[in-house]
Amino acid sequence: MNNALITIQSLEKEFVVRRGFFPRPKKIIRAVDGIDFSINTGETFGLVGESGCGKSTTGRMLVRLMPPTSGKIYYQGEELTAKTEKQMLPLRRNLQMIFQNPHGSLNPRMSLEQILEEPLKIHRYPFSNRAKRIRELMDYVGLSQTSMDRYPAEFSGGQRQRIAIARALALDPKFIVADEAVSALDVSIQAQILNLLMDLQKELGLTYLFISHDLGVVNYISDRIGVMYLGKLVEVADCNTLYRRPLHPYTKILLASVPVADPNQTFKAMAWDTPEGDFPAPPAGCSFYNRCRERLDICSRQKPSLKEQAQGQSVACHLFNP
Amino acid sequence: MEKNQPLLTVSNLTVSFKNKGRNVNAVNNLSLSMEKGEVLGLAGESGSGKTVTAMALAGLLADSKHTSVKGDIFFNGTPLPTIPNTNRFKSQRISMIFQDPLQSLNPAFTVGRQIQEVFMVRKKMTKRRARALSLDLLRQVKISSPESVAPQYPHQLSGGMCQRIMIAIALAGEPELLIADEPTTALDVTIQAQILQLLRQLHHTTKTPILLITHDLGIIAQFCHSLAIMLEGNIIEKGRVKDIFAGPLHPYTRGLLDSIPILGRKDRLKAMAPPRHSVNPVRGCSFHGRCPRKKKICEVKQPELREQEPGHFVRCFTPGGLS
Amino acid sequence: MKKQAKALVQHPTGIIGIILVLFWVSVAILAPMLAPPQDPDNAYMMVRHGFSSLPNPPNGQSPWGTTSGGYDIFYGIIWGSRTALVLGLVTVLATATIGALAGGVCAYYGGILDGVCMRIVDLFMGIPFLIAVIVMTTVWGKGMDKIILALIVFGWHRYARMMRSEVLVVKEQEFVLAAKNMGASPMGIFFRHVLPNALSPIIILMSINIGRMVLVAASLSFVGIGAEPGFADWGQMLNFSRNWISGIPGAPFYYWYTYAYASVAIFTFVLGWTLLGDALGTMYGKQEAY
Ligand SMILES: Nc1ncnc2c1ncn2[C@@H]1O[C@H](COP(=O)(O)OP(=O)(O)OP(=O)(O)O)[C@@H](O)[C@H]1O
Ligand SMILES: Nc1ncnc2c1ncn2[C@@H]1O[C@H](COP(=O)(O)OP(=O)(O)OP(=O)(O)O)[C@@H](O)[C@H]1O
Ligand code: SF4
Ligand SMILES: [Mg+2]
Ligand SMILES: [Mg+2]
Repeated sequence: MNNALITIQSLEKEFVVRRGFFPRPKKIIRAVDGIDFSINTGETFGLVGESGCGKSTTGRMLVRLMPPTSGKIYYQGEELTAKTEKQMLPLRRNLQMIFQNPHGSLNPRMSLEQILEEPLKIHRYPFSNRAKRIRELMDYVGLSQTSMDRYPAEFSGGQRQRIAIARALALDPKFIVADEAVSALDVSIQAQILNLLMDLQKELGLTYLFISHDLGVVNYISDRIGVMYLGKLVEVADCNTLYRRPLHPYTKILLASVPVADPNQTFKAMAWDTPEGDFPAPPAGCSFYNRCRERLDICSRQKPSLKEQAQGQSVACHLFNP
Repeated sequence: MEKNQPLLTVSNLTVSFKNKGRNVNAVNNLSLSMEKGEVLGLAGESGSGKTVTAMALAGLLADSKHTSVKGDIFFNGTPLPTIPNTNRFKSQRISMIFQDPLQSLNPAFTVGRQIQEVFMVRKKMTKRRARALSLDLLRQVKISSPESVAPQYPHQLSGGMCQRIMIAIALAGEPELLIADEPTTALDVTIQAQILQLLRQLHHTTKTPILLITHDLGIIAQFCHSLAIMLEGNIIEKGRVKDIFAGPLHPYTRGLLDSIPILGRKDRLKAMAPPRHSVNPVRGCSFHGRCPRKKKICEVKQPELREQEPGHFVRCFTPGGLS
Repeated sequence: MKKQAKALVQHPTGIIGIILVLFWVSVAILAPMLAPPQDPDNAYMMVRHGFSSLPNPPNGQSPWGTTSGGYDIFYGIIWGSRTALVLGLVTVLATATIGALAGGVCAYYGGILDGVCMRIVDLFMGIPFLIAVIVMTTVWGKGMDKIILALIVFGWHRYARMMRSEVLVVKEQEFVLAAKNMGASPMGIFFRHVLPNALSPIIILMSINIGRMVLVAASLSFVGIGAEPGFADWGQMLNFSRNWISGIPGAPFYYWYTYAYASVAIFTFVLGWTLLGDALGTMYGKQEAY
């Protein structure tokens, strides 16, 4: 497949958590533990997984908000990880991000106009066209009738998220990471923003990495979905395949845990045999081992790697790679 | 046996907050009843007054200069006064679980002690007996090694664990009604499934009725017998879950059902008009400003809650189907 | 901005603070008119009426009387307001700028820079402020400029600490990440996004500190290590009154004019800035909560 816009190879991120000034036993968190995937031009790649599994960290590394500890990221064949901050600058306009919290992602001391003008300023957009561009952006996200000198606090959550989207669109990006972009919104507004993102994708040919813990939302907007568990990608498949025929034990449990909004369909939640708590991955084996109900002997000794099982469906599990 | 008397009847509950000299009705003349052994879901827009209603029922809203609580609450046929100093009596019969378990547990005491306390204060038990009972209770909420969990502090436990502890504390009072305000919103789906499963099992064994507040229509579809939908401080639709999902009568409920993505389906969502947060109370139906089925009368008159179909109530002049 | 100003005025203590501050600012500005100097090149030296070693009560020549040494009290109070204001503003602006930049930049860039910077701040925290200033001014000698310098050297670290903790919070906010994502330069992000959102507690501290710095300078002058003799300075005027505070036998308030005017001046000046700072504090606190 040669139309990959973004390709990442064995991407890793470690955080060193130090307490205090003096060197003490440091704690190393492997937030992202060697993942590979690629996103094709024009598609939406969904990333799901439980809280703390490394979704946001992955998203932030993709737009170079965070340097990876190791691994490579390619954008249209160019290696982003090899670039200096200065070489990145012209590329940054292609890689944008929308954040979760519509209250935190806009500077409270800047007016709507200043917020939308900032990216244009940074990238030296011709001064005479700025006002026109800003109006165009507001039209895109359906904010046309609002006045430009209002501050973020004067907008509702949904409107603020629209402003954040408009800001991300300002530089004509190719790729947008949407990190829990609708999670903080009420359902009615959530539907609007989801539809807006899908319409913009069609109109502008955008490619998305859509991060969310809400499987219903991810399933709705994505073409392909990656399932993460403790910093690892355990399954990647296109949306329908994943829903109809999940292979990895974690994916199965995840899908079975979602209560379906249809009273005629019964909830098939699998009550877990294992008690709740922290489940550290065995150092040598599969990260899901301690919670897995289908585990084999080999699982505690060897890490499974992500392998393609069927057309477009890859799984990292020993059940399928004997 | 006489006709089934409802467990809980709320009539004309009004809660208003005074804010900068203005009175805002968070709950506006709300009436509601709940049957024995029922799991009632309460859904609705953010800010529509779900939490405030629950707090009023549990007697957690103090009547004060800034807050006024009016209306009648009958519990098992006896009136529950809305006056604050009966809090203890009320909370013995109604227990509440909140969204954020970490915030509602006391960080300074071990979780075991917090459960124990309930037995000691409410039931005047000795410490030893309270301890034994609290360990039992921890087992009941599916904590496999209660002896090692009881001496821990809340911050040492995961969110799901803390929520189990909260449920245990709520159960310790042997409530006649359990109110759960978004008990799983802060948790991962897998943990949420466990907690819901637990609540369902507890409901099977104790038959304690549950008022479950949630945004998640999936949870309602799977766990509740009946459903009440709130909008701007009032109930606009109520009925059996199956009836409402099959044929929502109120345009807001219709919009709500059309705007959530359902796992496995990809048809385009129909987005609703967003709420307009106006400070002044609107004349007529509170939904008329964004209602696709609005008629002239909606702007001038407030609709009443009527029984449109048997057991299915709606507050709308153009209830579903007529379009 | 308008809303904030309105909130400030509606704040009951805020309005008192504003009135007092405005009063002293206008006195300082109008000083040449209120009390025309004898020697315009040396306006800060107090006008003298003779060299009597006894204070003189109010009379036609000196409306509020004179201190020992014949210095005109009215003149001293009026021109002393300029001294106080200049001293307060200069020290506070300098300490706040140095402290906020040092603390802000260190917190923003983090790493070793931050570690070193914070150890230096800790060092300064360990030095008792008043004693250090006294030692420094005795070493350097008398003079307003030296007091100001000492106050700056031993005052900046409070701002640095405060700024650091603010910046550590603000720099993790998503709008900062968004700016980085756009390609904004680190300096641009710091000045455009981080600094403005970390500044409000600094402004509150500044307002309170203007009063506090004047109080410290006054106490230095009072113990005789402040301004040079004859310099229009409220602390110095109190120093002159030291021997007369107890009055004469049978009439304890006989020399009231030597200390009353200066005390009221210092009190209202400090109170004004402190109230203003408090009001700013509750105002920003409210805003944050909202
Ligand atoms: N700056 C940081 N310093 C230290 N640890 C971090 C940092 N950022 C993230 N982590 C840790 O890395 C892990 C992954 O975090 P990440 O935010 O990527 O998870 P996530 O999947 O986005 O979770 P959520 O659904 O809660 O947003 C977590 O254990 C988190 O505590
Ligand atoms: N203590 C209070 N003082 C003033 N107003 C309040 C107070 N508590 C709640 N309100 C207001 O009452 C209204 C109803 O709030 P409530 O918390 O019940 O909404 P909710 O339906 O639970 O919303 P959500 O789904 O977001 O939890 C809101 O407009 C809220 O701002
Ligand atoms: S590799 Fe083994 S332990 Fe891991 S998910 Fe597959 S079966 Fe379970
Ligand atoms: Mg995240
Ligand atoms: Mg609520």
